[in-house]
Amino acid sequence: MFFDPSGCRNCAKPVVVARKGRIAAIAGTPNSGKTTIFNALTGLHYKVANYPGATVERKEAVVALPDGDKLTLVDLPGAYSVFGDSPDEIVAANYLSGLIEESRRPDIAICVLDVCNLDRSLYLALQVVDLGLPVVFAVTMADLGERRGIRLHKELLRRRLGAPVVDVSGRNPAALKELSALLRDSAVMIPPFSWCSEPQFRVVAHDLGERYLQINGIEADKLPATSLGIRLLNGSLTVLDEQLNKQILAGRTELETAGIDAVAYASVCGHNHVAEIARRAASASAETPSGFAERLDRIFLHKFWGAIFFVLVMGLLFNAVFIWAVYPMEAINSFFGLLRDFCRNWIPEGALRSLVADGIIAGVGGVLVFIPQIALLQFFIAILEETGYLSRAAFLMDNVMRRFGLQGRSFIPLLSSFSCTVPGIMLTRSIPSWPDRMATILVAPMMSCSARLPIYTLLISAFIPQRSFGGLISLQGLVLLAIYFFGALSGALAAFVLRRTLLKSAPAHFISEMPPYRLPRLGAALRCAWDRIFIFLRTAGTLILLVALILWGLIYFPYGSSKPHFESVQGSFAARIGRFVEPAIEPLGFDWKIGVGLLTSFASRELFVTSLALVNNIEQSDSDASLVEKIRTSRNPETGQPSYSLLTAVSLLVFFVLSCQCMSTLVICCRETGSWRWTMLMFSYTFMLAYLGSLAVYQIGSVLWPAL
Amino acid sequence: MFFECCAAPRRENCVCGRFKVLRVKHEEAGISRRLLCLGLVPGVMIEVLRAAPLGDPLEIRCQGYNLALRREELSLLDLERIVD
Repeated sequence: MFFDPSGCRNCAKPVVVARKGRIAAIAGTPNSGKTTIFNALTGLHYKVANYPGATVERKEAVVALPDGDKLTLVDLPGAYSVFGDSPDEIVAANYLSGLIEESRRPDIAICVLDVCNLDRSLYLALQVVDLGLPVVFAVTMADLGERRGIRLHKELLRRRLGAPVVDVSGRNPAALKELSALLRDSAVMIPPFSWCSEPQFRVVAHDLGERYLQINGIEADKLPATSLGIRLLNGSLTVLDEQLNKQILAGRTELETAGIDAVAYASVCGHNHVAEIARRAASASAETPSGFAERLDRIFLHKFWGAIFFVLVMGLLFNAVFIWAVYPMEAINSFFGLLRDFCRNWIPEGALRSLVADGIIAGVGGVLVFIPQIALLQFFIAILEETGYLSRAAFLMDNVMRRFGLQGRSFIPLLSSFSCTVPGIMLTRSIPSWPDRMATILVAPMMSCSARLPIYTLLISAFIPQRSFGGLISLQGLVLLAIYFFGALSGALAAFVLRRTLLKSAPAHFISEMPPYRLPRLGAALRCAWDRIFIFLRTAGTLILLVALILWGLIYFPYGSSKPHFESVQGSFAARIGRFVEPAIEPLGFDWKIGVGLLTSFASRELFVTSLALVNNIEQSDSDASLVEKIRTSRNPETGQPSYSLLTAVSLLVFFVLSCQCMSTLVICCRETGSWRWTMLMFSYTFMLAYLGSLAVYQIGSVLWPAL
Repeated sequence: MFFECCAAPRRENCVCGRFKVLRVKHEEAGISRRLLCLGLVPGVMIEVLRAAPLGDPLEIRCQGYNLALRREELSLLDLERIVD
């Protein structure tokens, strides 16, 4: 037994925590099967929340234990150690150490031990033990390990660790029952710091940790002072307090004179210690390469075939979203068309009919059409993520992206931004370097999200002729592709400029795990797509409905149906607001109707179509033509010329590609960066680019091709 | 010896092979800490499997799992080539 300056009173005794409302946290390395255990124990009845002050997601559920007791289960983000520096690793470490305000420290930790990566999982597990939490060990991937010839001696591991070990691989119901029974009363406090053979290191770390807690006004015996001290020593926990920083430097020097490397000591000894345990507990050496993954890597990461395959996968992804999704979208569209006709026939002429048919159904229905696209994109990204291919894609793209000041890890967030910027920005939390992360967040809005697709589709089908080359490639499709490339290219250039001006720093680093290849699980991907649809429906049911109602009111009043539709709209409140901003947007080729659309699209981009649909529907509500027809035939009442030309359409497209007009994106950016300055910067620089881009397109275009 | 290979990034064939980690340099604390956390500690054997199509980053294998990192990061490790 080692000398223990933190005065652990419960060493090696099972701790019976009788308190109600206990919290158990599941800690494990990424891809170790944490979430599988969590889902199996909770039966998928969890709720997703954010950690206070950070958007790192936390899944939480209350489960009933065998004796009827209730326990809150928390699924932590995957972490390699408590010394990590990416935001999600920091959250995991701080949550386990009790450093997150407003959320209580867990009472028990379930440490996940992945048989195929026993060294690494044990390393994290022992760090959790050092935090002074009672633990239960849950073994995963034993079936996969057996196929690779790794046999785990559970009994030996249990004896060596001194805490219960349950094999839960393959979702064995009996094992899960055993695990929940253990959670009730058998979690064990193991003597911490068994890897540390230098008492001096622990003393120095403990003193630093105590001082840290003292500065933060926390009682020293409540939190694991020594473990915090180690984080201070190796620099993974930073403080502003000058005196403490001096003390840390003094501590490092003191240890160095004693021949201990303060930064590396804990990691090196910890790894050596667990390597020794792992060698005894698992019969095969972990060096056996898995032939299957290596063979696949040889193809997917091949110089030539790897690149070809990458292009094919991305092509398939976008093909799915833009071609296959069209059929369900048309179905939804015609459903809302029928619903509108129904309302027109059954509700008597007047304000109510206009409200229901032109306000609610046209407004909300115009947006719900995109559900298939959003769901498909999310589904395919989830599938790719599960197979392990996305990490390979990041590996392939790193070299290209670093030329623009980004890195391989930026690839997945930016790819997700094509479906929606909000999850895209949230995914950046796995990027450890701050300038890289910031640059990725700032350019993410330029990746055309699916909310912009309706605008693109509307404008393209209204103004680009339906022509095809050789019967295969359509002009409209090519234009759509060009728009996406334009967005991605602008994003890359913006990142290039940002990394050389505001976010100037040394070239970033890229260290990323390549997870093993796995067969994707359909259920998990469907769940992912459903979560996304749910969020979308929630916005549609609340924000979009509200804006649609307000907008309808502004267009319908003050004249209502007392005047002919056309005059009523021309004199409406909305028209007055639109005309007020018209001088500012006239040089871009936009009229007041687009102005109203632009204003409403600040709340959310898809509202632009809603607003255009509302204005034109009410204005031409006698005609049964589609929105595309109405926009194409809309004429300026003064000149008799068509209101919108091809040039207007291109100018509008450029505007929407570049501008970040989305409340949710701005809110999430503010929360993720913790700074409204960066958020304002993101909004203003994209808006300026959009304005100048549109201005250039329209002005240069009308000089060169006046006929357009 | 390893750095001669790094100096000629195009000829990445010579990078591949098995190495033993001798030391982790502390030039950049954050990166060194991350390498240490991932198990790249002195005494560990690693295998450089391949380079990405444009010559960087590299895929390595260490303690039974695969990692992608750039040449700069790998150069923070003092490596000794193992000749089979």
